[in-house]
Amino acid sequence: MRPIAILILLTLILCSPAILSQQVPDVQQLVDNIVEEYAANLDSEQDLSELVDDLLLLSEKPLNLNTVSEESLQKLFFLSEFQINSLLSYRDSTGKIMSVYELQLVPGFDIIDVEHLMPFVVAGEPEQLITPADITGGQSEWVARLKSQLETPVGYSSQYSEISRYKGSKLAVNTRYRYRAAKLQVGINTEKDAGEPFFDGTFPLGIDYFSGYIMVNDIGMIKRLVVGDYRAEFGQGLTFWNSLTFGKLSSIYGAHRRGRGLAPHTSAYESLFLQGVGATVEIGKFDFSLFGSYQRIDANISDTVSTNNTYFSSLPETGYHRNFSESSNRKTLPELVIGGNITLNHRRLRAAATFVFDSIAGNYAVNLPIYRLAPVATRTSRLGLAWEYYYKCYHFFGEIGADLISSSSAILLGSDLKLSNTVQVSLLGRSYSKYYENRYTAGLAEGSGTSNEEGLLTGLNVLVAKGWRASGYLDLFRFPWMRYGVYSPSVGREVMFQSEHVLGRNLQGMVRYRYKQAERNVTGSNTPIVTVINQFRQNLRGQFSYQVGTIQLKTTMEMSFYRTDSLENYERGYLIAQDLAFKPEGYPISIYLRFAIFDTQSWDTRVYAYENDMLYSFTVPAYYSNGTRLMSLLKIQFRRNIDLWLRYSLTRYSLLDGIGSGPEQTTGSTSSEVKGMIRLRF
Amino acid sequence: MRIGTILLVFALQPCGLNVSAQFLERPISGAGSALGGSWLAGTDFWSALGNQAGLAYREQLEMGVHYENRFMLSELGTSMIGAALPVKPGTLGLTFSHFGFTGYSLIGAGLGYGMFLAKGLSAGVSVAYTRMQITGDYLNAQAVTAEAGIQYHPAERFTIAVYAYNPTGSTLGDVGNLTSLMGVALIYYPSRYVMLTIQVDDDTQRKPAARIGLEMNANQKAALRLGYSSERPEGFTVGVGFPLKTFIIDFGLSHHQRLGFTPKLSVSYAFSKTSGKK
Repeated sequence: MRPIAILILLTLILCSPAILSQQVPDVQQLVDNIVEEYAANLDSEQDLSELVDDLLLLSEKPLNLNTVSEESLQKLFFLSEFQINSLLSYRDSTGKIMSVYELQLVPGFDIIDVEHLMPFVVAGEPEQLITPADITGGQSEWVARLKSQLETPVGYSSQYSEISRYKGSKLAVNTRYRYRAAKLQVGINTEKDAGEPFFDGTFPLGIDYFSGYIMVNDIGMIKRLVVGDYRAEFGQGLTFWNSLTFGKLSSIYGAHRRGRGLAPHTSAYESLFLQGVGATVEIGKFDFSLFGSYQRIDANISDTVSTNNTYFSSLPETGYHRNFSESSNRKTLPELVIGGNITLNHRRLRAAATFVFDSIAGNYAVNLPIYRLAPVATRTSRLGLAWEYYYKCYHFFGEIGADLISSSSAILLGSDLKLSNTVQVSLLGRSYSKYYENRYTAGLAEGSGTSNEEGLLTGLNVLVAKGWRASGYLDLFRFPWMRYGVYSPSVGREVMFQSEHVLGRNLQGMVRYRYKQAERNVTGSNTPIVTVINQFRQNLRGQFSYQVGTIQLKTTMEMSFYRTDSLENYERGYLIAQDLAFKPEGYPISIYLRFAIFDTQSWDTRVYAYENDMLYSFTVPAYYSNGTRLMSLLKIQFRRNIDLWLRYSLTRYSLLDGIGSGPEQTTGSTSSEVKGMIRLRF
Repeated sequence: MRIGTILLVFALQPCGLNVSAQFLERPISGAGSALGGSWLAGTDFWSALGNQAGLAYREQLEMGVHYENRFMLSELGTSMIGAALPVKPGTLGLTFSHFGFTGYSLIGAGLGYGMFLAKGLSAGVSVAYTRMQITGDYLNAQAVTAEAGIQYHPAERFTIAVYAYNPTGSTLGDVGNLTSLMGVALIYYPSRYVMLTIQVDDDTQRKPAARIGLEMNANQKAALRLGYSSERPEGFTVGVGFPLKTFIIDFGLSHHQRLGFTPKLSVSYAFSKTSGKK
């Protein structure tokens, strides 16, 4: 078997001009492309910088294919569960992997997968003992990003009401420092949002957001020890998960969610992280994790404060502290989170139990009936059991979570079934009771959190022919009780179909259709009982991507349609966008341009389209009303250690004389932003 | 009469009948008009003057004249002359146009350049000057606008084109914003005798338009064209085209139920016997 494999491998290498002629890949470009595949499916802006961080770290410290664990491979989120299992089975059956190119022999991998993997894996010798270099031989990176809107919103005017007037300048500043070694990671993040004061005495440290962490990993029994700000992801997100998750659209790649366990909080997202200590210890087949967090969180303290009791009306998560009103919410209530997890890894079975206790030292006080029915819990105590099991090409998983205080529960059962080499089916059923807690949970859901929802998601992914992949899902869901904006139990369904084609050597085409029906309150109703009506939303997108030499082009067209029971005709929205990326050979610069024209009849027919941005930044603007958008991004690399990004974007509206609302409102018909970032590596 | 025509010009604007044409200073040729206005992906002489990426395919010195008459009203006539000048690398394009009459006119001049960036991929840019003139002291306004386009041929029978007009949002003096436009078009040749075009374009002053066109040619000796545009007043369109030695003559016709016919005639001449449409 082995000599044959080597022979085939040699043949593959010799017959792969693409590989032989391949230059040293531009890791950053590759990471951009991989993350974009996921980000392009997003319908709102999310901070994906942690994903980028993980991949960049792996590119600096590639995984050794001959020793890597399943858990480590899961960090490569673009690999499917089946590919990971297939790789591990291949290694078990054939022994040492000689070269990365050998992965082409692994069932489920093709040349594109191998090209994606190359920067992140090596076929090395079994690992040596820990050396001092694992701690001290790391690399540091410092990044500073400045951003400012060119128009000045009314909130900066001295005439604006004092309580809502912004105290600081409209310049936003973000810095991040990272030190990464094989066994040690250290990071510090700071951020001043636009409008926030800066070293004027408002904030104890001079700047609104200051975050840091130290993490050591894989030293003896200690699998991970993190001190400072961190995150935790377990099971399918029903018991504890406070990190980013992809929505339903990613379920076409598989409905299973991969928890990383404890991980440092590396982004500038200012809410819902943990602050304290967390550790994971590996003993035999078991991983034991314990984590604790104590910090003051943002809360909107209501006027009624009785003796020894603080009442709050909401827990803002925006991280903005720009004016008196927002600053008065800053870090007002203490929160204690304690949790633990035990995970058993036994062959193809993984089973885990998670426990979490969360206490916010305040009382929730809002008198609206809708909130009285679904209060913000100040004390939760959740216990969850999660499992996953591989049987041949079938992957079954699930989680049950129970809140012991509110006696509510959440259940998720799912499976990814590889029916053949070309057909994969995903099934996922979920049932979250109406009082189950949203905070620190992230089960797959149509609604805004892991509560008040039942649903069945069916996904299909078919490699129809060479160069043609069709995928889609059908999600049937119902909300057993009223929720925000829908004052009755409601139902809905969503269908998505996507067809991707390789039309030529350098040309790919994609068509995607989405249909969603859900219910909502009728707007403008003055009756005591609010009528709930159906709403229908459809989106049709066509996209061409082509690459010629050093030029990458992407043309996107999207139509959106929206109708409700009270609208006779569909409202329509249109977008045409052209992207161009250019990296001249021999020059250390990259240029990205976009021009888009849009025409939507209403906010409901807005169109979202992912836009290139600098490292660690993600832009998915909502195109709304009628106008054009221009974006230009320039990246310059000085030597090997210094990178500079400059970005300018301008949206012109034909029919608007003012944009935004409240203190964010600007006069005029344009909205523009300049952004710059520098990265030093040493 | 002239005051009446001026009023007609302005009265038609809010109806979506943008009589000054969506490409303010550059009318659509007889061939493009006959295809429902779907010309962005074309590489013929007149299409190349419109989407400058097509200039890369004009390898000989060529000149042409174009005249159109909206609804057979002489006051709504547009005339244009254009030239393509190969400079290696690439080709320059020149256009001069005039719309209107003594009382109200738009004068345009454009200088474009197109070249191949890589095999099968061409790009072009243009800078255009537009002047609006209304007799007397009413109004004189001018603007400088930019245009850019890309054409990509991934295969012999297939072309993708993208074009943007006025992406920088230039304004016409005090008159207000000039329209910005963007379009995407595909051309597909099912056989050497048949060409299908599809185009979607949108500008900031009207609804998006979908356009389709069908051209059938008899061994390059004559072409019959049919088209449809979802955006009025074009609707259904028809036209013919044929070469005459090194001349190429294109005629297009559209009809509006109330306003009548709009004929368009374009003639181009190549200073070489090997001329002809690609």
